[in-house]
Amino acid sequence: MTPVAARAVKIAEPAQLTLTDLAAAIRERRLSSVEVTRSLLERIERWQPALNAFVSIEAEDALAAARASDEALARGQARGPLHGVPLAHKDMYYSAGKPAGCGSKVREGWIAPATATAVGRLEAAGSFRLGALHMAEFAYGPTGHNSHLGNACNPWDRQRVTGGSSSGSGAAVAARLVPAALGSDTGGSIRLPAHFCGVTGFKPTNNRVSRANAMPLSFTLDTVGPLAQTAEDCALILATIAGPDPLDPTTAAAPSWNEARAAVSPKGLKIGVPTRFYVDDLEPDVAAALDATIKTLESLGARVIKVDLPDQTRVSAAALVVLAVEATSYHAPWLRTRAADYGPQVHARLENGLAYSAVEYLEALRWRGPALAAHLEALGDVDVVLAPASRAAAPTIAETDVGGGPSAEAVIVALTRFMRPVNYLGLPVLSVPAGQSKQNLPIGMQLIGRPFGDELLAALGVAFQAATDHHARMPTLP
Amino acid sequence: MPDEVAAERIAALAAAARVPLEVASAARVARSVTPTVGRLADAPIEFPFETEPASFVVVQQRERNR
Repeated sequence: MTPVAARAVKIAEPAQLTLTDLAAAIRERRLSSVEVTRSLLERIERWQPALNAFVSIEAEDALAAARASDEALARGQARGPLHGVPLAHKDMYYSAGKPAGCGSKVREGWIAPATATAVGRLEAAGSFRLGALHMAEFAYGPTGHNSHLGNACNPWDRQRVTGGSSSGSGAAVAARLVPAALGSDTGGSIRLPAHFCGVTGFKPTNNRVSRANAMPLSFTLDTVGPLAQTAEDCALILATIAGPDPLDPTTAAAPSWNEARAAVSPKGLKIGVPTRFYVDDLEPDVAAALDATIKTLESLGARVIKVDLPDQTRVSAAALVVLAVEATSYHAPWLRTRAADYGPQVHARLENGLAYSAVEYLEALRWRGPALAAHLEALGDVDVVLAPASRAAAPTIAETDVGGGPSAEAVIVALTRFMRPVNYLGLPVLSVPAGQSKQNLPIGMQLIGRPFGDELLAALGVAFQAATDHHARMPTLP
Repeated sequence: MPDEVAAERIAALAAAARVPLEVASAARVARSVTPTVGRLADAPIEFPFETEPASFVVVQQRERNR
């Protein structure tokens, strides 16, 4: 990797630095937190009207926090590895005393009574809040459409979708309005915006990062993870937030981040490329990016082989059942009393969750362990599976603007096709920029690990990004 | 599960859940979920009798020290 100082001099604005470089520059007092915050706020002022990436911008509070961070550092009181770094997160992460609308009318103006564990850990490490980011209504949409807040727009082409549901996180990181942001991934909501917006996204192993005081969608499938410029940045975030939390019992056996495992060489790793499903019906640009990624990984010393995974369409169908029923269970009280306050697409999807019986839901849930066992058996000693994030680059907002109409479910299923199996199996995934389409749109690849293989993915991602520059491409404001 | 999901089934499930659902919506839901129901019905999901949802965690944790 290029040394931080050498990288920094090439960049005109502090806002364009990676999270890792920014944190180091503040810590080493080459940049003040106030300078960084002002740089980000200036950029937000220029881009926000075009992107609609933020739902709130808290400039005065952020500058006050930046000044306090600088004063603390001057006294020798650095709080942690993110000291003085402004961050913004998807508007579903609660901060005590702040509104968290969750992209909805139902929760418009709702004030969170407590802070999400993930946000609390990032703030304990020294970061502070710059504002809150756009999201699909209740995180239940894969495009970035939102009938209450207006659509978020893709910084590479404002006529195209950002991907969702972490729409603001993808757009804001891509446009360098924040150095990193939390998203959530229940059916692709980190990886789709990462793919469509050209940033790096990390969906951790299920039960590795606390979901406490984050808005729930599916208690079985929800995961909390970062979007950032690089795999190194994502690892910095995960190192801060991963591990057990008494407020989320599913994390009771979660290991904390292992820095040594995150620094291994990719030499000798076995990478599997699926023989079907993930490679079917790819657009030529995506197929070319897949081939190029294989060559890069081989050049790093990894061994790339074919892998025959179990039928992913059945895994995907089981994921749909679990997600649909659990989401509808959460929302049933409001469906009874405030149905008109939902947008048409989310309302239609929540109604779909009424379709499954208790026996069907529990069969889908009970199959999860055997399905993971079958997946691991098929992998053999394969360390990582390489697969495209989607069969194509970002579609237009217009062609995916189907609301709750008859084609809505088909559009959603098509967009999330390569996403859902991973959520059902609870696997960690790093999504990295890996190419461009003929329209200059980003193309992402998924590096899918084994359970708790998050650190290995980080190591592989860092090596891949040291050998490529797709992650460094940046959109320009027209 | 049947290959075709009937709107009447959706209406009955919605009523059991005490969630209001219009007749037209029941028909739309039935059409929307038919591919998923059909995919799972293509062949029965088979697993040991003793399997419970938490069996997933057992399989997952086996990988922890790999």
